[in-house]
Amino acid sequence: MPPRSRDRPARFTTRARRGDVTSDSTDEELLLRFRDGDAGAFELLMRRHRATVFTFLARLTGDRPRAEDLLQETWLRVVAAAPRWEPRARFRTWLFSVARNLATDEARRAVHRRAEPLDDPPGDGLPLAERLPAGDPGPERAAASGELRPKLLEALGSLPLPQREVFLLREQAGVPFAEIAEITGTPLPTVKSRMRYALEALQRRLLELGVEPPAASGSTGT
Amino acid sequence: MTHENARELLLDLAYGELSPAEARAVEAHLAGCEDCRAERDRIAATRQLMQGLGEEEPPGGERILLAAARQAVERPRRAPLFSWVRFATGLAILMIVGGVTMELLSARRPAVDDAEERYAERSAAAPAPGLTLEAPPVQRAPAAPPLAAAPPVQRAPAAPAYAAAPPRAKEERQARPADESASAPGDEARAAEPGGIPMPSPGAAGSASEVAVARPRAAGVAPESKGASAGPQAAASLREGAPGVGFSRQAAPAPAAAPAASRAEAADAERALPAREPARKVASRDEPAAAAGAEGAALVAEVTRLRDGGLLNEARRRPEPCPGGDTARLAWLDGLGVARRFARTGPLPAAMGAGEATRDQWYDTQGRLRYAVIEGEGPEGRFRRRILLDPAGAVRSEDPPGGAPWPRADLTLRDPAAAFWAPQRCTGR
Repeated sequence: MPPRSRDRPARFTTRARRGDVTSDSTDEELLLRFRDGDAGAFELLMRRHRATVFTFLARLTGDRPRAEDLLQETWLRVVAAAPRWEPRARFRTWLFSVARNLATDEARRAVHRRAEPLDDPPGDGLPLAERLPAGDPGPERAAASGELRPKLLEALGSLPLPQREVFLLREQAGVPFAEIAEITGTPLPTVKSRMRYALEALQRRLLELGVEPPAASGSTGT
Repeated sequence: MTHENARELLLDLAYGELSPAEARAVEAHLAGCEDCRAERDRIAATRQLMQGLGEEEPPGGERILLAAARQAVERPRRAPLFSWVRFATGLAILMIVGGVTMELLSARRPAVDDAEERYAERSAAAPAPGLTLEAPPVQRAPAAPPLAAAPPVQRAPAAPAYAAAPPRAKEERQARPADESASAPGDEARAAEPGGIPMPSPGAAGSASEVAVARPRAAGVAPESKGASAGPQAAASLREGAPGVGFSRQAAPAPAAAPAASRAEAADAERALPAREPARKVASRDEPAAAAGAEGAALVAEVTRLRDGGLLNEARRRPEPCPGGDTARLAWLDGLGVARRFARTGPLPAAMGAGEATRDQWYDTQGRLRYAVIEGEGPEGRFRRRILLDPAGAVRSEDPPGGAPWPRADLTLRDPAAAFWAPQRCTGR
């Protein structure tokens, strides 16, 4: 009889009562509740993160249909892995790792890939002429931004992948630098370097595209 | 705080990652350093601009996820075996928890790609016209034969059991008794289900159980666990999506991707067993082509009936164009992502000249290729060949040779859904 993992019975139990989780529950609490049989906890978890992960995937890959697939695949893996979840790693770290690795795997095999390994030393990557995310910005956003949005996307798309992913994780997904280091498997100083390069490159590109910087303010937001 | 230090920390300050004491120190420096203030302002300005992008609207497809989640909790899962072998997800977890390097991740490719690559290599080496349908060879080492039992069990808690069913027989799951804990070989040795292609039962059962003994058990959770309920439910939501033209506007394809990956890896395992290697030679070229035609037509009719009945959804892809790659793919997928039909169109091999070929492949309920039609046009004219295979993958009959040359078969013997979703294989020729 082949050996079985006896560490933990990987079963969804039915101990949990519905309604015990709230929107104040942490990700890890929700995931554990899901593991313990509360599908509603998964729904909360999904609604909490789905748009962020999708935005990350869409702007990382520059390919909305592919990002949709990757998004679905990512969340299905969450469902699959929940029974074995051990709260050693932060959920968000794991979630973005899965998403990023799925996207990276595909990118590595894609024929359009120029020779650009994801673990480039900062500044050495060639800017990729990636397609822009084809997402529909929605009526209000389109109206408000006029021509701004395509330029923003163009600038983002001009970033090399290592810089782009760091920028997306920190700026758009709100992931701290140390966690980004975990997700991408790069050292923390490298992460910060890439962020600096990303911001510089964005600033340059936006200027080239004729985007006016907003009036300088005395304070910085977070 | 020195100028250099403060400069280094401007990023952390901007993103609120400094302790209050550190932040105060940096701010104090900023008060007296115009350079740093300018840099701080540049960072802020760029951020403010880019924030105008907001978030992307996520696609639909939540229903499938919620359905998968509900099914996952409603049905207790078996303890999975060898789960680490099977899924790249496990490796993603391992990276966090166990510090495994990306090497493993990149070594893990869908089994279909590997098998087809090797098949392509061998066929290229022996470019005789006609059919050599060989089983893909034993998997190479990095994929780790599943027979080498003892997976790193200490990792198991972190390694997720993948949510895909065993690649075969979703119908069988209905018939399965509430025997969740048994990961018995009998799982695989199920007899043909009603309505499927009549298979030589003893042979199928025998060979299937032979496989199952050594084969890692799939973690049987979730979306597929209730075959009956999943089918109509998933099928219903599949149908809501865009009708198959264009790619992945429906939520459905992604669940196919998920199970498909596991099926690919299950097939992985299967190919690692030398006992399964089917005959290398074409059984007999002299068999009447009528057999190929009639039996093939029966399978096509059966699968088409499923499609017409709404149990199979059509998905199409236009993969990224590249030399030697497919220009179009089509699959008929059931609610669990199993493909019964997989067709791909692509250019002829460069050695043949300009032209195009379509391989229209039809699969039994066990996911095995049973019937294939290869047709297209080459420099010397149109060709059309029909091939019938037995469950072991050996050619049972095919159209007699003659007519315009046709490309080596390059068929997808197993895991058509995985092949459908797989990235392009670009030969660069």
